[in-house]
Amino acid sequence: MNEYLSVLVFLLLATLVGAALLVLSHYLGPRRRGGIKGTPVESGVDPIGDARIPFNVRFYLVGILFIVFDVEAVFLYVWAVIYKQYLNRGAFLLGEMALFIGILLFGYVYAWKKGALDWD
Amino acid sequence: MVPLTHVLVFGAVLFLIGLVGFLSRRNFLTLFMSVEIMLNAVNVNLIGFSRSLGDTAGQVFAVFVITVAAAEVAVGLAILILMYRSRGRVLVQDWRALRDN
Amino acid sequence: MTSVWPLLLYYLLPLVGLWTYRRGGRTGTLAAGISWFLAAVALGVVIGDARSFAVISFYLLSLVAVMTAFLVVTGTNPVYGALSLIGTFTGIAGVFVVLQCEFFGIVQVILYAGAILVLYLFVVMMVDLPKENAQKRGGVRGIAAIATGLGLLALVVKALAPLGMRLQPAAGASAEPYSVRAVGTALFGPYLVPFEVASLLLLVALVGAIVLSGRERES
Repeated sequence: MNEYLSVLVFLLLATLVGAALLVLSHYLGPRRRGGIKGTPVESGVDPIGDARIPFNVRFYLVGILFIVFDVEAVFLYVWAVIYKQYLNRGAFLLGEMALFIGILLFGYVYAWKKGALDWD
Repeated sequence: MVPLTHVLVFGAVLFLIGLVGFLSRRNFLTLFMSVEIMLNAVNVNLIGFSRSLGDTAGQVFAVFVITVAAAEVAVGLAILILMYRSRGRVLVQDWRALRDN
Repeated sequence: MTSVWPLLLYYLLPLVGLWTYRRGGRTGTLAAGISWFLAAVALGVVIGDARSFAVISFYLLSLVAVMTAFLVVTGTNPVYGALSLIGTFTGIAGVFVVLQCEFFGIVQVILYAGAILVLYLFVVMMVDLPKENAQKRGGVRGIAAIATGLGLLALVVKALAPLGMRLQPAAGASAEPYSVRAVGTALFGPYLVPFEVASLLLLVALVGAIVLSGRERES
């Protein structure tokens, strides 16, 4: 566990510095609210409506694709770690992973054909 | 070394929080997050046992749990979006329309 | 001792009644948790002993995970819920690292905090939810949920009590079973069929999500 001590010290320092900057600027910095400070910058337009407009469903589809291939990447990593160790069964291992990727590739092609990757 | 019992109690408490959230909340998104917490509690238990028994099977199952969680989130949230489109809100009582009378 | 948790949870649920939940309480919970975490980290650094350091970080990380899980379940705003869920996942990832399963700590961060949470946030932004109204405290729902949870926890703890005696940690276990190599050997050996089925599951999830979100109906 000792090798993580430095990580922890790093985390601690990062948290402390971040918090200290926030707190210090909150207490030391001058604050003048209202008046001309609240207006849009220079020749900017007045804001209309709420900042939280609903997202488009495309983001969701891209997120789905990302999750699926993220899981695949995790499996690939495990596979890559053991591949060298079992080179005598290399073809078999390669076939396993090829089947896995092939099945997922089918989904990728489907997403492509359905236009889930198009952005307009 | 952390005793196995403490790891398991940690998992049980997390599972309890997820379960209570799943049973008592009405917002569908919160329900999904509660399910995520429960799945994570299961992972904690699996890894705790795997470490304590020196058996790799627990970790392999944890990988599958994560895979299932990813699939569940993908389809579940798609259903949630459908529901939002038809009802304009995502509360559980809206599913009563599925019940046969 | 363990029965305190469900009671606390019951009072933190967004219910109106005897004690209405205030926003300040949530922030206070988070602040208390973070300060506790930092204090104990400092303690662990001061002590410096590897073993106690690991043990202390386990309790702290689990505390962070449990507290943020509380926030997820008790909050009324799903955006804050999703953000708190990041804390839960990161805390659990830290617990995995303490348990010497570094691989799972990283997978937890990459998959849960990185991918699944992003999806949640996209959906939260997409559906623009109205706030969930607080329910009446004392309703059947809350009490039933707490009773179920309490009963389950009591059963689990009851079952664990004798187990802790028998299953002492690292009983004849080496460091090797936790490595990625061991996981891979098991995954691509005895668990080959579940592995291939997992790809089918992912394929079905992908196709299902694309069909359900109905992109082509829009255009």
